Amino acid sequence: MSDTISLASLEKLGDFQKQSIRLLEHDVCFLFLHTLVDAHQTKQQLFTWSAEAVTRAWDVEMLLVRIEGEAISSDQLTAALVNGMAILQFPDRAQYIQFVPIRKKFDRSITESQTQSVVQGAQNSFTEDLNTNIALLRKQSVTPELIYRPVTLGTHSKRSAAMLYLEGTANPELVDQVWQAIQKGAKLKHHTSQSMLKTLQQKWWNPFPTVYSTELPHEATHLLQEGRVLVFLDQYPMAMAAPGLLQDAFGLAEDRNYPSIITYFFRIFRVIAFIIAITAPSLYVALIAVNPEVLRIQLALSIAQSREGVPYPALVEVLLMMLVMELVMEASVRLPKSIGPTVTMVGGIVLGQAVVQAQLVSNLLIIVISAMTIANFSIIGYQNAVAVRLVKYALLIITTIYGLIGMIVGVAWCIAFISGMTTFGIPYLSIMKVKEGSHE
Amino acid sequence: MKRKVKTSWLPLGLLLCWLPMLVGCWDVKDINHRSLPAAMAIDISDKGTYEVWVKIPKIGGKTSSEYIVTYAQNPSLSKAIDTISANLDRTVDLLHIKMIFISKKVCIRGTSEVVDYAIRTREIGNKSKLAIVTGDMNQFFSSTSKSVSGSTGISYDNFFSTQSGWTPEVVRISLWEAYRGRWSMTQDSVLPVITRGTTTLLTLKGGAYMREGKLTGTLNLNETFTYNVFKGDFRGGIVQFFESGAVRILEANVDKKVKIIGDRPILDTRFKLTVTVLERKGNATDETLIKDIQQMFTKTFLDTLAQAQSDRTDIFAIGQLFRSKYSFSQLQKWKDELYPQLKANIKVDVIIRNRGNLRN
Repeated sequence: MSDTISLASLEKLGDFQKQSIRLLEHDVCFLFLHTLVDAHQTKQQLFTWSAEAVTRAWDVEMLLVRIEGEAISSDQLTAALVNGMAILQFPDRAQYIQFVPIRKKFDRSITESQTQSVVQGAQNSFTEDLNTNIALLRKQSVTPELIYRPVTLGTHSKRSAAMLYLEGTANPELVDQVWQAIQKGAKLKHHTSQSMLKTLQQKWWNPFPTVYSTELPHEATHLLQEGRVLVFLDQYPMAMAAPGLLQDAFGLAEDRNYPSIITYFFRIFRVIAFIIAITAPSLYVALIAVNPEVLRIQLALSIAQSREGVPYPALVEVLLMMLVMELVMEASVRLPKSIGPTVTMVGGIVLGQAVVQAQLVSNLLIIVISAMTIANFSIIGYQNAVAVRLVKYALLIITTIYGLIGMIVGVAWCIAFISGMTTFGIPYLSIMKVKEGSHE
Repeated sequence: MKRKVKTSWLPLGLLLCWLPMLVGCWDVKDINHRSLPAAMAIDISDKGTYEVWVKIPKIGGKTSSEYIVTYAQNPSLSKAIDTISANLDRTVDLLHIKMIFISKKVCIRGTSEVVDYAIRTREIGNKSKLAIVTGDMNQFFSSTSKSVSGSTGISYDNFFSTQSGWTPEVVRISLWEAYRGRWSMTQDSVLPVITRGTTTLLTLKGGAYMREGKLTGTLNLNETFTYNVFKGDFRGGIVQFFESGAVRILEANVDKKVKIIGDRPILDTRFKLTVTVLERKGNATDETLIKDIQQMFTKTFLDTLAQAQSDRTDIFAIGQLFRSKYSFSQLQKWKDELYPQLKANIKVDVIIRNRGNLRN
């Protein structure tokens, strides 16, 4: 009875196929989804095994052991098929046998990273396939201490995930907490990785990444060595590291491929970039509108000259340009690669020349906005960059109202905010380092 | 419990909502909607009212030397500025005033009103420089296109800037120092005296010292140089000329020690000069050069001090050195009773560091 029901529901899937094959003198039903399973090759394999069984005088049981078949009930049939398994149905048995068929290949091969470019370091990046990602990590850190804990997330639609850490390096308390959080969050729907961020205690109102994502196995390995816990989701080509720290915005494992002096040189400039990106527009408004007495008179005069004829107050002017800038950035992400340069070019012309000539904004603002945008993307990690993009608006508003004092208060507030964040009990400002002499 | 927390936050949140109403940011004017005067000149008219000139560099002028000079006359300084502001197409914003020129007439009547006003407005920076102008104030601002740079509107600042045109003969005094000189028991202020130049922007005349905001005496260029060296305000490069030759003073340090013998305050000063020889007249030896330098310094310093003592004006701020040695009531009498009795001993050490490329 239940057989007919489940078979009917299987028919609804559309790509479900049922074929009759002959194995060891039996007429066997071979059930599979033709979109996932390479039927031709799987059958070939089955026939080879069956021929082998005949020469060795095996019975059906022996054959099933050979193909690592597993008996399942008819209720589990759909789940098994959707998971990409193939099913054999013997006429004299009530149960179905599921086994791993030869699957169709549709995973992306390992390529260079698209979002995080590497100058001097390992170029390969994570792909969508969970197992490939873990294999990449295993190749990067060849050690038995790399612990891998698989987990299946979701209630109705399943998604496999994994937690990785280095035993002996990662704090066991942290590992426990993250594992418990994942187990607790396993009942959520995990259609996007946002749910995983939520599981890993990233607050919705906090733009700063307390869960740091990277696409590079090299970086991920470095994070592991620092004692962090990595979480992978299937079909998501990023490693999520908990906890994310402020140091991720400034330090990159790739920096360590150079002499130390260059490492520090890079890092100092990223810190400067961070400060410029947050304060540049606010400073402009403060100096133009609220506190021009800070400027030297020569500078004040040349700024006044460049703003001559601009009809808007400084805040509107800045917001206008920042809006255009945000749109250009969004558009260049969204557009196909073939049209991308066009937007850049048009944006460049609009931002660089036309706006000034039309006297909509001042020359100085163009310089400020460019400096800010360039500085913004010197910060490591896309989410860090976006967080800075967000915070500077808050700072801009308070500066417009209260001037330089407002800006100082805003920066202090920002520092307080960053200092107050903790993830799994680890403060956002703390520094995790690769321990000397470990895993050498 | 949770509900209780929520209700306690609500009034605070509502209160904070009103905060934007208090800030007054809608009164903020962008920099291009203000007129930014670079210098201000103050005189007293025959009627006894204040005459105020304000020099404003033009924004977006064809050349950077374009400027306008506006004028107003009023018994009150602030009203005069207000009148100027009312007549201009943009509000006058005194934030960037770097120079305040005061006529000799104002100095004789007393600068306290001007200095008090400038401090009190909060618009004028306390670091603004003061200078006394001799000659016709009407003409002072009008033809000053004699700056080395094109920007005559703002070049007064450079005249007094150590980064630019300053030499150790120019006395520099900021607004706050003038205010301090007006009130301090143990020091007075010295102002530079200038006049409109014929071939240059300004012509330096020397200095003038004031007691309680009123002019009491003047200094020549040699004296202002000594004054600056004693004050420690020195940058290398000044040429000194004597009978036996000329030297460039590279370094000048001064040691000051004070003591009280009997009732008389004593000041021991030791100047340490490092010089390089530029010119020699005849057969002048190092020794004669050194002697000349020593004589010149000793004489200038002692003469200046004697003159200032007779004027009861402590221009060298020597009283400051006695702050810990006298009681408060004694310090109150410092300028009138103790300072005129001061005896100064001076010693000048000269080192010739460099004779140039010539050997002798």
